[in-house]
Amino acid sequence: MTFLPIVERELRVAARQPLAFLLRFFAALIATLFWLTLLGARSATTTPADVGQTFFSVASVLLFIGCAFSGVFLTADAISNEKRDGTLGLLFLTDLRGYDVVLGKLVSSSVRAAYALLGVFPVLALPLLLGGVTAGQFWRVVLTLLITLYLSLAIGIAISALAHQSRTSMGATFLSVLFLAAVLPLLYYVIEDWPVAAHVRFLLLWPNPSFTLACALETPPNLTDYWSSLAVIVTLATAMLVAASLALPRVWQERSRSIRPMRRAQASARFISNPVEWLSIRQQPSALLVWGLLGAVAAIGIAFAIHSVLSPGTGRWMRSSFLLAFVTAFGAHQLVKYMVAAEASRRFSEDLASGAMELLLVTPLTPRQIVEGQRRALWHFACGPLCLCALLNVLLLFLLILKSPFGSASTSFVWHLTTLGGIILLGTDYYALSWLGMWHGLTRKRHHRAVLHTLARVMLPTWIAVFVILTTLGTGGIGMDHVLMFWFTVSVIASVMSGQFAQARLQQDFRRTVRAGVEFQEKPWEWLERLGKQPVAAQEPA
Amino acid sequence: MVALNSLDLTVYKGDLFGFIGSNGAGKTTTLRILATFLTPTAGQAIVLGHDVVREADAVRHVIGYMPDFFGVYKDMEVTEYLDFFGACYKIPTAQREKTVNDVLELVGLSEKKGALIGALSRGMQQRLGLARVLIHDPQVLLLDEPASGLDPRARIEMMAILQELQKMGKTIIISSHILSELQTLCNRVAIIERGKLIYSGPVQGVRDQMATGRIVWVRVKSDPEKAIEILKARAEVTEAVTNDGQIKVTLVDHETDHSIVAEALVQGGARVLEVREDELGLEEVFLRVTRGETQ
Repeated sequence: MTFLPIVERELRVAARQPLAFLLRFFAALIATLFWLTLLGARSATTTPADVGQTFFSVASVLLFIGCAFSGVFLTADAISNEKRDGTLGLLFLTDLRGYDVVLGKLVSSSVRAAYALLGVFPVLALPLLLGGVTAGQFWRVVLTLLITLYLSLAIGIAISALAHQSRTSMGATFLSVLFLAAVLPLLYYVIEDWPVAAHVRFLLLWPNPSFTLACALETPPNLTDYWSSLAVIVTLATAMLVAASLALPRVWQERSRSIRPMRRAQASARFISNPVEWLSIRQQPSALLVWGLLGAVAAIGIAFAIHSVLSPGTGRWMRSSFLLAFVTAFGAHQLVKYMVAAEASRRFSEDLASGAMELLLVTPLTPRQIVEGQRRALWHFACGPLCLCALLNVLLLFLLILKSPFGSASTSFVWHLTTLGGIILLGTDYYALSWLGMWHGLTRKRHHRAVLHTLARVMLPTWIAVFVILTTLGTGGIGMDHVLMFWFTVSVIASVMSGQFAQARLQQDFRRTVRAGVEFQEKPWEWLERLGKQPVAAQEPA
Repeated sequence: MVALNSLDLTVYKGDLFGFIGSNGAGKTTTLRILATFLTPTAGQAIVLGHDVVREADAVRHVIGYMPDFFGVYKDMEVTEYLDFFGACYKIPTAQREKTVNDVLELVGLSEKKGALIGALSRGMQQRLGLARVLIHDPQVLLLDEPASGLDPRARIEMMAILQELQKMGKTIIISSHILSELQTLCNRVAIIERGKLIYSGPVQGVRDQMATGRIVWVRVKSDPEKAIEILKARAEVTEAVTNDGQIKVTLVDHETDHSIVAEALVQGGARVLEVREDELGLEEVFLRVTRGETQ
């Protein structure tokens, strides 16, 4: 008898897929290019050890962010998807146990990410040759990244075992990771000077993977905290997998109970002239949930902002509170952007999977009307949250003018620029996310993939660009204001271009894309396969 | 890959037209082309005088297409679902409620108006799909496997609804694997294999065209060997053999009247208990004319 048959099958399948190897190759390639950029940009006064240290720190943080949120896109919909399709029950008709399914899903979802991570580790080790990074630091960071990946995937699996809808499981995973990696340290920071801090330190910091990473990067190393934190995280992740394994055989039968009527509160929407708009509005997440979540984040930001105003002079507390208010506002922006990407792609992705899109296309509704309906429904959903985020930035701007927490004119200018740029980016990113979200929803039957591709197309290029620029800043001597100007310009251009591209595709290729019925643009290695092949003539008239 | 190859098919107004073929034969592709969902790479398809490519919008108003999957929004109520599709077909809001009630009554779902679609049985969801197809009162119905997965009662009910719709003057094209039902339900059928048309015409015609020789089953009081000798002596009989206590008689062709069997036996002095012609079913015809090849 085979031990863990699903795990074995998934490993065999993954071993045959070219994507696993290509991902590893490209991950290593990107890391190498980043490394070479840093080396090339270093000034005469910068030592190789400095470059190595900068690369190691920045690459570690970037990889950490990737690992921390991998569960949202890799495992959060792994089991809930099977529940929606009704295929999970088939597995439990066999001799399989809950842990077989949970571990199988964990392996199948994580094997590519693990491969990519393994591909980057040799590049991450290059600073060891230049000095500035010790072998101990390197291995601690490697271990932290692997454990963070494990934690994030385990959270995704556990939530997926309980949830039914993709947006619920993805949102809950995202918030859980955010809670562990950002809210807990924030709480600790707030109470740091209070006597109670020493007693709850282990509760707030040890389950937090960003604290583990900080310990791993520290010199001299804080080994007690590092190993304790690592042990707590491993225990937490394993406990989640055990809980999922125990719960799964009981919850998979609850499918019929999970079908709930749409909200009556929005029944008046039936009189909207565009039926797709009506449909999309009816199936949006409840306003209570959205505003509850955003309200909580905004309240934290506003509380820090008020504290900053009330703090005397321009001392540590005032600057810190302002920074925390800024970080919270930034978090709110990212949350809204994630929600926009998820909502923009959901309707089309689900209709494509269920076949409802085919039914819509044989009615007299034109693709333009379908897209317009979805776009208007999305605006109905996102208008309020976008305004709230813009208001948070206005509040920060007001604070900057009122209190000038950073003293010098040049530093203040940078903060003014960042706050104003955030408002502009909110608009351009919404434009790109809404159109690209719809397009990716139409080309991908799995909703979480559509969200991942949308966010990756809009957010990732500019983030990578700014990280590269920021890291060369230390070695190349470029001003922060220039970096920001560059960032905003690149972001705005990238967003507008992405939005334009998706808008054009939706208007021209809507029917053809649905007809194709395949997830084209899904497989990144396809362009490799197309090399050397003759282009295939379009089979259908526009 | 060629899904359909020189398919030349005519369906007349008021027909209940059965579309028969193995899996992958091209039935769904044909229906999808007629429904304007797919566009043919070559050739032409016309529905009530409208070209499905150039006048797709006009075609969409006159057809009702029911695919072989549900495509339902499970968290919607039955009336909301139909109301939504009514809006898609631009039925005025004031008129929509009555239309929804009418089609629900027609398909026998009036009692499930407020039910969630996800809570309906498969048969009811199939009926709801039919109600959706009828919401804009189309003249042509394209139904892809409407009875698949239904229990016998639901199947019989579905067929009764289709007959009712035919009486209302609708032209119905129905693809199905349940050939015995198509045989009684349809007035005309088409058989396709690997995208090619093998037969198109009346149901009786396909039997006549495909049958190689009529088969007659005979039961005699005693001495079947003598009866076989009598039958073999006739020029109209190709073969006569005993089979499970009966005599299986194969006539030379389907034109020959089976009464010659009884006549020959009586004249030969055999005591005949029963003479029964073996009706060639659509299933047997289908098996004879196709080889089960798929694309």
